[in-house]
Amino acid sequence: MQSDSLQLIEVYSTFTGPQNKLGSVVKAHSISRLDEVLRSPFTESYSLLVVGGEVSPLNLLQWLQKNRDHFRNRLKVIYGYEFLSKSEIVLLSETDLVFKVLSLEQPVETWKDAWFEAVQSFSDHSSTENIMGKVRSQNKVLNELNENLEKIIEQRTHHLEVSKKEIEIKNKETRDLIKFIKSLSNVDAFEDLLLILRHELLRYHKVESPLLIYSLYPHSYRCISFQGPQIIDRQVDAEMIVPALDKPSQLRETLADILARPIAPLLCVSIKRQEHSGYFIFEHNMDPAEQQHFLGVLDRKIESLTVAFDRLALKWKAHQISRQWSLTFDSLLDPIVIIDPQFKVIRSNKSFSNTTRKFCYQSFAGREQMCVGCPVPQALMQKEGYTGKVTRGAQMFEVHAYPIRLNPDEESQHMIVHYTDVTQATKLQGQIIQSEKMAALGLLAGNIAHELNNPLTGIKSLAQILISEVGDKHVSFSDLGEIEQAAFRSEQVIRNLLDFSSLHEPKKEVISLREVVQKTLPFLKTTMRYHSTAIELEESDDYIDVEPQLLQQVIFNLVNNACQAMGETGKLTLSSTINRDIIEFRVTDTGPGVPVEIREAIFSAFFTTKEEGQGTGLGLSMSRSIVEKFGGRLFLDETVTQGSEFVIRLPLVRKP
Amino acid sequence: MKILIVDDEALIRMSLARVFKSLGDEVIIAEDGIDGEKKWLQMQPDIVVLDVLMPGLSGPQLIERVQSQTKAKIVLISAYAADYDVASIKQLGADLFIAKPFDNIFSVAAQIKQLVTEK
Repeated sequence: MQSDSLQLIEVYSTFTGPQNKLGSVVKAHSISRLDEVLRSPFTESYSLLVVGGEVSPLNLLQWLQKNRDHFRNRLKVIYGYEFLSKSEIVLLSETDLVFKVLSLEQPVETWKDAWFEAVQSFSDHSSTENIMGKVRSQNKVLNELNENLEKIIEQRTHHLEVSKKEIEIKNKETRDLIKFIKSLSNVDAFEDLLLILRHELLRYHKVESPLLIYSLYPHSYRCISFQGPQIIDRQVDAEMIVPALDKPSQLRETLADILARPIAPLLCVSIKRQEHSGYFIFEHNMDPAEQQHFLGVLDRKIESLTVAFDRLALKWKAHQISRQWSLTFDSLLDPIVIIDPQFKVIRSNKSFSNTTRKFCYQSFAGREQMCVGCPVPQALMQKEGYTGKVTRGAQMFEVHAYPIRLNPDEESQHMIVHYTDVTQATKLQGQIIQSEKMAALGLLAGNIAHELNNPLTGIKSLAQILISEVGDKHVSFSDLGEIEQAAFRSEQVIRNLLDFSSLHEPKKEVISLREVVQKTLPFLKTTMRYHSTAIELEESDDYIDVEPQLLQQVIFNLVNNACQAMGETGKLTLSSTINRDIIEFRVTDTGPGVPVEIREAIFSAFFTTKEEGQGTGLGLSMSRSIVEKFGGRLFLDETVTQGSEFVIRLPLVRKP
Repeated sequence: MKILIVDDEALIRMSLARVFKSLGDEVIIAEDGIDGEKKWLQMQPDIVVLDVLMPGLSGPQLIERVQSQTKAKIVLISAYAADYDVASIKQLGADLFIAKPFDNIFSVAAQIKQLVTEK
């Protein structure tokens, strides 16, 4: 477009400014036209002047040099050099007169950049000091930034170190906790639990050794405490401790009572279960903050403590239950054994055997094959309980075998075999028969005695008559005397026999003990024939109020026992002593004495050490009840170590 | 004095008879109750010495049968002394009871004869 006129190209949006009209373009084709532009208002503001046509770049430069002052402090860019190419312009800045060649075809963005570059270079050049200042201030900023950076690095490093330490502490705590848990897992008793806890809390100087109060079954409380290095586990009265555990204010006082010492302020941590409970109690002198911290520490440990405590409690209970069962099993006096179908012992109680051998018959009876009469095969076959009888030495047992299934899945059946010692019962049955025989014999003896009395009376009377008839000069006189004497002795024996067999109604009478003894001795002549006998009876009045026949029986029993105990040789002593209003009659032998373990048993009914047929076992028990009936006592003098000495102690009475 | 002795034990009959004879009495002997009853009624003794337990007829039974026909003093002898006392003896119709065995035959004889001489 060939035109002299100024052409304004508004590029508002491109050259932004407050009024959107700051930038304008003037196109001039001649120098004269440029001079005209200089006078135009456009030059008052930054403008882009595009020149083309006759104005060569050189001309333009010269012109710009010439009008330099006019352009100072303003921008003037400016050349469109048409002849180079109609679409190119040259940008130049008045300060350094740098040309930049831009194509008109190029996008507006490129123009904008070039514009700002030009503006920038213009401002820079227009104030070097300003630039220097900027440089300095930028340096300063840079320094500050540097310093800040260093500080930041320093802080970061510090933080890193701190967190590293924290991690270490955490690690250590974790390790400690693991160690604590490990040590707790090996604990076998409540005491150990407390020991470990004490060790764990050693560094808390304001906390004393811990206490543990625990209850494993209702109404039973125990308290474990330290007394110096010692651990004391004591039973605590439930009625005393239970209300205190519910009321912390009361606990301190109660504990002081239990431990019999003053108690510091307490912290208490409890583990409560349905069946068991535990209370860890700490005496301390910490302030509230320290307490808070301490409770925090405890809190981390309490879970492991609880687990260990529960484990111990359950273990104790399991142990207790199994102990109760085995105690019950073992304390049964009847032998009991559990066997498999091959008679192999699975389990047996103490009464069963004191040897542990493979098969039940080996352990129980020392046999090498099944006991005769054993009910086990029958019980196995019929799959139900069965009873039999077996012997072991002199003992007779009733044996009950019951099939049981130890394991629900198990095919084979085990047997529980229960033995009842029926030796005594069998023996007693024999003894009852024996005593019935004796009673019959007593009756018979009475009849015989009466039958004998008739001829004896005749013999004696006739002898007396003959003696008087023949006179003492006759050869037969002394023989007849012998006959009379023999008849008299026989008569005595019979009279005593009648008395003794109690066919007469026994009546209490006041009688001399001496007399009773002397009446009894004739019956014991046969028994005492092998033994030397000493009789040392009190000479003074020894009257007692008794049924003489019964007392005779007692004396007979004691002497009979003494002689049987001594066997073929020995010394029997019958003695009596009076002490004020008491008389003691003693039967002493030089036999083996009564073993300590049976000293009480000998006075019970049916106890006997004699073989069947030799004794009924009623002797001492009946004797004792007879003496007691007379207000006296019958006992074994336990101070006697050689042989044995039985004592009848009776109250003395006045002479009739 | 006429004395009847009724006892099944020969030695007792013998000894009593002998002691009474030696004292000058007339002695009649019977070996059991039946024989005793016959001799008692026939001879009418002054004293009858009678055993309690005898085969056939016991002493008390015999007394019962002859009681109304005799004036004799009656002496019962027995080994079962505990069964008797003065009252029961009187009730049986006897005058005296002597327990067997005798301590001394002479004192027994004297005691028996006293029953008659005392009168």
